[in-house]
Amino acid sequence: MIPSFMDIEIAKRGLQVSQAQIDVTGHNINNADNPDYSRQSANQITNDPYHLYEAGKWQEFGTGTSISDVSRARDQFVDNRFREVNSMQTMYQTRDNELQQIAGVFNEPTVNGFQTSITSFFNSWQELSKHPEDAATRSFVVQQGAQLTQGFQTIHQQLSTLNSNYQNEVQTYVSDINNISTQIAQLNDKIQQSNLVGGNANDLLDQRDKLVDKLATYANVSITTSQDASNPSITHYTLSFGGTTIVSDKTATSITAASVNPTSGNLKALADLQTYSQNVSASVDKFAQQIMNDVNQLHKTGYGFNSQTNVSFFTGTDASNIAVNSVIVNDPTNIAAAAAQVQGDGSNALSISNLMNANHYDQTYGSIVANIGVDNNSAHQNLLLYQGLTTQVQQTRTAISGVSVNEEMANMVRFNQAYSAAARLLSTIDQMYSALFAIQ
Amino acid sequence: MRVTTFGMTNNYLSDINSIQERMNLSEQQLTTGRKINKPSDDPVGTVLDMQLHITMSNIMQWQQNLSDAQTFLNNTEGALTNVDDNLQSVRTLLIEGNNSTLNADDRSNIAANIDQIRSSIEQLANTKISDQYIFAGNNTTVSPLTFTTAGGVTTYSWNGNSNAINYSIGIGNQIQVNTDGSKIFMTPPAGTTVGLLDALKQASTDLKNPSVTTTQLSQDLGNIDAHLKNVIAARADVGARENRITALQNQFSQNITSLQTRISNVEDANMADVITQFRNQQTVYQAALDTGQKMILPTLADYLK
Repeated sequence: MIPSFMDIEIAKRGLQVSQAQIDVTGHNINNADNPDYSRQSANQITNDPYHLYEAGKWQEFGTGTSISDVSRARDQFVDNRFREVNSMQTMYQTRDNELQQIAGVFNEPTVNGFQTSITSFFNSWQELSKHPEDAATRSFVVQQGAQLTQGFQTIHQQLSTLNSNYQNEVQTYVSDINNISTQIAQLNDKIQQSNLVGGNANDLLDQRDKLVDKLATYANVSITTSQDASNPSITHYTLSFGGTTIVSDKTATSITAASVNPTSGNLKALADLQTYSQNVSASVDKFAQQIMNDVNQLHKTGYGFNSQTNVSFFTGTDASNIAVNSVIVNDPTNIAAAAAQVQGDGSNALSISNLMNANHYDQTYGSIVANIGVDNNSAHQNLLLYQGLTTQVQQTRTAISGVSVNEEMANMVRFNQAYSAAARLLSTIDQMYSALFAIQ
Repeated sequence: MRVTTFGMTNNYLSDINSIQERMNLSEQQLTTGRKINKPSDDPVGTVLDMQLHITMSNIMQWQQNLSDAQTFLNNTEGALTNVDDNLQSVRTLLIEGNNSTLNADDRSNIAANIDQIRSSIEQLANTKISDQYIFAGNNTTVSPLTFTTAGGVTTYSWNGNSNAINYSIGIGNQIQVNTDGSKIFMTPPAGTTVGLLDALKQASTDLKNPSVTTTQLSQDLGNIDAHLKNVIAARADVGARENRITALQNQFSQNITSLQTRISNVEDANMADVITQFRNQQTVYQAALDTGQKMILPTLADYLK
């Protein structure tokens, strides 16, 4: 005997299911342009049947439909791959941008580049070798010397400014990272609570994935999940960042710049750039010292206009403080143009001007600039590669998780029809029962 | 592949972005006219470009040095020509004076003429270009020739040295621009035992001497001839150096022209190419915008009323 009013129950469940599906569709449509949203679907199942002994055997009768769960379309493997390539992309992006800044310090290849200061300085010694008696030519050498030393100092200053910028940026990022890990730990708590009561916490999962995406731009991340042995509805979640576990379920561990060892992302780029700018600065220092020592060595052996000797042309220890000796700035007759104590002798000036080509300063300097150019170029090539990869993986990701408005509209029509059909069923049942109740 | 609304706009944006990036590069080349705007654009080209500029700056400096050397040598040449001309006159005067028909007064007049010439040669020995004495070796700040006259007798002394003044005209390549004045004016050259000024002094003294012999005057003429030969040799040497300078100047001018071409090849963007490229990119960009306008807006939502 079929239970009375069972049919009304079936029609009601149908209405409810269609309504839930329309709700989920609405949720999807309204999040169509939310890049972090994963498409959800209300999964429909048939209800457990009941059994009746009819016509000499047990028969099954369906009891309509219901929603088993609301799931989100997400592929953890694609997520991992996306974070991996995006982390590399961010690293190369920062490296490309910043190497451009470092190369910009030298302003090559332009006529205003530092190389012009170097050649002008040594050319001024050739002028002096021709006119050692001329006070204006001596002042010209001092001016060119000042230009050169200021060039060195500016380069040093700009490199050290860049270096401290990188350190500051790391500090900003570290506090952002710690903030994010705390948020993830809080989300984990909420997700587990939701799981305990059988919910899927789809929107919270999306939020967590968004935060992990953000973390991946700072360094390499990896996620390990495992089901709790005693309660399968609880999933344990461990997030490793730059080789260190920073979130374990509800607990977040703060990091410092030194406590992580990133292999990609902005933190890796900035760590590399700190070393890089220091190395460039060291090569510039070495170059400044070479010029300083070479020029001073010859200069000390020569004689000034009034037979002054053993005077250094440059003072200072490296690119940060190299300067023309104040004794010479105050009195350019101290410039040792002469190799012997003869006022008209310019042969020492000629020897000093020859240092440029004899000691290949152009090559030393050229290789500093060229190395940055090569490194910048390779960073840029890698950036293009990883941009391509990131776009590709991003496409796969949106293909899985993204919302298609067309699809949702089609679904809406489908669910609408289902709803109408269920309503029609109810109205038919109503007519049936009315007919029944009309019997007097 | 499932095509999603957000994915479509996302792809569209990233494509438009990359078109714009390429346009930006072309635009940069167009506005600067250069194809290398930073070392990473072409690291190899950057190094080559920097080296070419150093070579250019070297050659420009050497050109400047050559032009200064030419001034120096021209002045030397001018002074030596004057000395040469003066000595030719002395020679004529001496031949004239060595004529037995002349009386003592005539000879004394000739001697006065020779004294005049000597004093202009004294001035030539102290020739200056701005503040540099050109015959003083590298002791250019001090007048090389000084003389004292005591009891009608002039004594010469030379303050210059024999050091060379060299100008740089190439890597490891120098040219001496000065001529050692002591070898012209003071030291006796081959064929004589007196210096130029002393030889002139001797000739004048001899002419003033009423009892001078033909032999003595012939010897004076011989001295002057030896000095003439010496001055002509010095002029030839200066001339040879001037020729070397002219040859180098021509060579450097050619080098500069070919360097400019090479620098332009490395640095300059090929405008015709870049403009064509830019036009193509503009067309693609325009097409992409048109497509985007048609692609993004309509969905099924627009057709379900």
